[in-house]
Amino acid sequence: MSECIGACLACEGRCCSVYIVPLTGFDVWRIVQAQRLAPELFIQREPEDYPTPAGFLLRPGGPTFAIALRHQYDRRNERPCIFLLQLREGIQRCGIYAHRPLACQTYPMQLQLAGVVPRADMLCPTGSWMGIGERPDEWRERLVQQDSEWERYALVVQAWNTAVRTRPADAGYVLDQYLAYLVAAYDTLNALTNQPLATPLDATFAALANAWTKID
Amino acid sequence: MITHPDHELLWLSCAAKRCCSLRTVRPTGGDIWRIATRLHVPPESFLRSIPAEPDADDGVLLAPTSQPVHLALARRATKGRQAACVFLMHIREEVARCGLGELRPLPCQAFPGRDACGTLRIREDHGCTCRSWNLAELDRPAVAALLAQEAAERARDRQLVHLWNEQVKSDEGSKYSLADFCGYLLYAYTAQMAEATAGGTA
Repeated sequence: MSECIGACLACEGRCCSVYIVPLTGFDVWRIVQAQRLAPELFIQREPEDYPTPAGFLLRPGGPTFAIALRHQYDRRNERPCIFLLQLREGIQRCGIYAHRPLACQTYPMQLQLAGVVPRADMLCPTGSWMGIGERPDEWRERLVQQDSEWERYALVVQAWNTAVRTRPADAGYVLDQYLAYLVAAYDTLNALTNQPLATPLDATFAALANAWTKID
Repeated sequence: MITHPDHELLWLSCAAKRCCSLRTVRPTGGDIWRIATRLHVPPESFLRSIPAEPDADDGVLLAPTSQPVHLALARRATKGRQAACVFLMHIREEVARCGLGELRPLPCQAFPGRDACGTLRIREDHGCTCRSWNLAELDRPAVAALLAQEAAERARDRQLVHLWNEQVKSDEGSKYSLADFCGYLLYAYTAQMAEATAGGTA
C-alpha cells in the first residue's frame, strides 16, 4: 500500500483523468456499501467494441456494455474521476482510496509470463516504479485477485444475459435495472461467504436474474 | 465486510451534506497528523487559517504581534455551488460524500454530538434540513468516546501551541507561515506517536 502511495506522490494524477476505469460487480458492491451511494450515481455504461464474457445486454440481441466510473464535468479535455479530490496547491487524492476499484489497485502493473511488469502505456512519471522488483508478491496477489473477480463477475453477467435473452424481442432494460440486479447478486454472494452452498452458484444467479428481468 | 454504526449510516446516507458546507471544522493536531501521514499530503494542502476567538487559549501566533489563528479544514468553491469542505466529493447535484472516510476529523465523526460539560448533547447548530436528530439515534458510548478523545487531543494541542507561541514571541523579528506551524505540529505528533509505540512495546 505504502509503495503505491509513495510512487503516486510525484504523480500528476493523469490516470484518474485519462482512463475509463472498468468495474467488476464486486467493485460496485464495495463502493455502494462503503459510501451508501446509489450505483447509478457513479457508474456509466460503455458500449463494448466486441462482446466479452463480462459484457451485459440491455435487450435481447442488442449490443453488450461494460460499466465504468463516471467522470466529473469539466471543460478541459481530461475530465477527472468522480471520486478524485482536488486539494490545495494542485494536490489530488482518491476520495475512496480504501475501496477503490481493482483496476485502480493494480494500476499500472500487469501479470505476464515474465512476472509482474508495468504496462507499456502507463502514464506514471519516469522512475515512479523503480521499487517494483523488490516487492512483487503484493502486486501478484492483487492481480490474481483481479482475474478471479473478473471470472466471478462474468458468471453474474452470464446469468443476467441468459435471462434477458429469454424475454420478448421488444423487451428492454435500463442501466439502473442492471445495477440493481448486480447489487442484489453480490449481496447474495456476500451472504454465502464461508457457508456451504445449498444451491449451485450459477443457479442462484439465474434465479436472481429471472426475478430482476421479469416484466410485470 | 464493511459495517457502519447506525448513526453513521444516517449521516453517510445524507445526500446534501450541509454540515460540510455550513460548519467550520477545526481538526485536532491528531486529526491533522492522521490525515497528512495516511494521505501523504502536506497539511497546508487541506488547511486554512481562521482568526481565533478573542478569548481562545489555543490561538497560534505566526508573528510576535500578529492576530492568533486557528486551523480549519480548507474549503473549495466550485462553479454554481456554495464553498464546501475540500474533502467533499460532489457526485451529482445535491449528492455529496466525504472523501476522508474513517480518516475524517474527530468533530466530524462525533457529529451531530457535542460535549456539554461532560454530557452528550445534539448540536443546536447542526444545520441539517432533511432530518432532525435525537440522542436515541446516536451510538452514545462511541460518540462520547470520540468527544473525550477530541478533548484530550485539544489539551495536548494547547500545550504544543503554548510552546510554539513562546518561541515566536521570544524573537521580535520572527514571521512564520501556516506551513511552518504545520511542520512543527507534525514533528511533535510524530515524536509523540513514536514514544507511545516504544512505550507500548517495551
